[in-house]
Amino acid sequence: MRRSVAARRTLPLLARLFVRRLLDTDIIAPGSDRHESLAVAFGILITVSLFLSVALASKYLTEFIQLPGTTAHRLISDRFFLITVDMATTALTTLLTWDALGLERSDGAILGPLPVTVRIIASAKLTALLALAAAFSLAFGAGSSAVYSVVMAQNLHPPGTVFLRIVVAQALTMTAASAFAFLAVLAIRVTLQALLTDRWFERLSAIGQAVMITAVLSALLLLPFGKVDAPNNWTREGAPRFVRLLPPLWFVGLESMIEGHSVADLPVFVPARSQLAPWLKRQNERDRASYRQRDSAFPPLAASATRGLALTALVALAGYVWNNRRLRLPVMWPVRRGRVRAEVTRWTLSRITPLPTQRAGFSFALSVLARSAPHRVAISAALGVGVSAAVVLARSDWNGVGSLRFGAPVPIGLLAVPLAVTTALVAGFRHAVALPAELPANWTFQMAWSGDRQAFLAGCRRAALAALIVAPLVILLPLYGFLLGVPLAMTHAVCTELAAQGLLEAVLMGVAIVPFASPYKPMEHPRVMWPASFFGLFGGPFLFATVARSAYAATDSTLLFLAALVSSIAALKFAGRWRQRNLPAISFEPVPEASTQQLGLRERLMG
Amino acid sequence: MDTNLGVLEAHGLIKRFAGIKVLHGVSLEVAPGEVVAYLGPNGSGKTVTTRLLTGLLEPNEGTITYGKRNIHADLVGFRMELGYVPEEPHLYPFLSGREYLQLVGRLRGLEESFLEQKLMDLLTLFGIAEAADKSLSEYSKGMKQKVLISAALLHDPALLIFDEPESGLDVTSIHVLRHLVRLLAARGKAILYSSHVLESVEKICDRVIVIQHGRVLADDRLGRLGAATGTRSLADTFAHLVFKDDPLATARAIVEVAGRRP
Repeated sequence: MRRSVAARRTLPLLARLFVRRLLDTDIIAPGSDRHESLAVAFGILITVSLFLSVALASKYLTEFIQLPGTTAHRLISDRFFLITVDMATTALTTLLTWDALGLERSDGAILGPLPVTVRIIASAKLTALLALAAAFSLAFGAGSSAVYSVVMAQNLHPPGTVFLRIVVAQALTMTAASAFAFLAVLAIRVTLQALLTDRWFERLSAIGQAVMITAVLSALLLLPFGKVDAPNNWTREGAPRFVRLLPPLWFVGLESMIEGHSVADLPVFVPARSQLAPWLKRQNERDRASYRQRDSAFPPLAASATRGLALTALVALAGYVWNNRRLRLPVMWPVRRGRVRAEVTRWTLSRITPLPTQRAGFSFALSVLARSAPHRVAISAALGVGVSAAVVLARSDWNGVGSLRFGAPVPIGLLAVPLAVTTALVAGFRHAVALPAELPANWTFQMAWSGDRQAFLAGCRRAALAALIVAPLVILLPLYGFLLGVPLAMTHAVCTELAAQGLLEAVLMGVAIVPFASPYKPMEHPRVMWPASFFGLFGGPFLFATVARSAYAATDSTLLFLAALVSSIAALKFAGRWRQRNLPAISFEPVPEASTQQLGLRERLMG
Repeated sequence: MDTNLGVLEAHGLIKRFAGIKVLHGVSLEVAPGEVVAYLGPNGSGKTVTTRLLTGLLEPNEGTITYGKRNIHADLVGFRMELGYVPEEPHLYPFLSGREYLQLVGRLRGLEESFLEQKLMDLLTLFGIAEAADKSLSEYSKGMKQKVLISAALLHDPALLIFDEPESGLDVTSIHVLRHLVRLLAARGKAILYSSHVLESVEKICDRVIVIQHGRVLADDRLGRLGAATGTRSLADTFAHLVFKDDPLATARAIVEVAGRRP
């Protein structure tokens, strides 16, 4: 009896502990102000959802006479957009807590000695995860459901019960879509863990997380660039079959099923002293009939949504229970270090980074980018942005690709793609540099720091050059060789590498911290930097590609272009060295909060 | 034995946190070839002192000199001569033991072949060569401690500050550490050894500084301290200087509280 009471008390206690840990270590950086960070995170979510809702629904406000049939028709695309953003946001939030989506080894070490069963610990963690997912889902879905419905139905003047049905349908669907996204990420994780075994999962898990962040973010960012009425067409008869595999479309079907014909069947509201023109009446009837024709398309989509939700829930829960049937304790996996590999690494390292401090920067940067979760997330997100920008830039020119080999002009968009990807990665690297890898461990740098910031920064820069510029260009080279021919592809790869290297020199020029070690310092002048970054992501590569295409017309101009790029890098290097010499000394002191600075509290507290 | 090594001197160190004074004018001196023990109960200010002496914190008042030069005048130069083993083994968990030592060695400007040989020799002698390429997150506390000691010795410093170095170490390693400290002192290194393990302190230290509530209670050679307090062992001396309550009575009270049931 006493045990069961204790168990009942333990579950909520542990769940609260896990929520706190999820927030402190996975979503918000340790040591930061949790309340402020949470307020900002939820504020952003609610603002984005409200902005999207109003932006999507505002088109209905401009209609003097809003036709219900036409509105029902257009609702399909709006619903697809909102549901996709909702699902992508939930998936991204869940992916941020990837490592914590199951019992960790630290859980075993901390909670193992306590008289609590594994089942309770696992249930508490799942409860914490579900609570957090529900909170994020509510923050995004609740406001948007109400606001979108109110704005959309403003000129329709529906009866109260109909309006309620519209709101409930959207709220339920958004919640279900959000739950699906959360459970899908969880299901993927638990399935990978079950199939790969602990050792391989721990090795490959980071790659899985990075790939999924890139994919989801790319999908989210590309959404506004899609055809507005495409989802509408996908619910017509004769639509391509593959679109039925898109989960957001399932939930569009579900919402349409729950909502029924509430909107389509509404009578047209005609304001006083106005008349409904016959052509408007005909358009309303035509669109209403067109909407009714989809009656056969929605039930299978809704069925896919419910089946999908049930299946992901089943897989996620079964996998979660299976993987967490026992506590895992910290373990030391055997590691084999090949002598040949070690020698090759040492030889390569000595060639790339001749000075010890450069070598420290190079190796540390590569380790942090690959193994530290916040840095991995930053680079994956940057890659997602880069892929989106590349797709947008390339899309308009794909028609010309087939004729490239026959001497037709090279499409500018195609030439801009590699620089768009590397520009995004360089921007991601600049952000990652400002994130401390493990703040309590930065005493190591304080103790061993020789003061040679330039050498350490040079090592970091070379690591970025190798991993974030040269590697993507090498991956793209076969495709470009196929599309442009090997000589042109090679030339373009070299030119892009030089341009990206110049950008890297430029963004690291004013770095006044020890990369990955100094306390986090937020971006200065964000109002200038964000628009400039946005322009740089699209405008920069486009401008570069325009110049490059002209240059590639003749050998002389190509050589001139190369010389100009090399000279630019030399000038940027020189300017960078000059700037670094004039920067203030490194400080490892945490940057005080703005409010603390304003009140002069820090000075008072520190005596 | 190396000559011309500096003396670490601290004069009148005062440190406040949030306006609360935690050190009240601490002065000490560590000379080359000398092992100075730094003792005190929990919360007495030992770790704050070691952080001040390494330059990780700045004193509100007082000066710290090494070789007659204020350490804050050239902190980087001072730290080139310093090896430090902190109390908490905060390390980069995603690096392996080898990678961590490589990072420290490279930051200190050591040549690659020399560094590789030295770090492997140190890891082998500390018995953790097998784990050299494993992630530090998988290391036990004792293994992390060995990595920290290796990192402090990589550049052959003239001054060593150990803050609870025996924490987590096995019995064999503690014996090795004791001999190591004595041999390093014999080579002319100045060593400050902060510890709770009085047995070790008794065996390896030449002089003892006892601190409580941020104030130095005693600073003298072991034998002279015993004579002055009329005690035979360091444990008795320490108890005489520091304890206000009877330890047995405190233990009895704890047993009493621990035995309470709902």
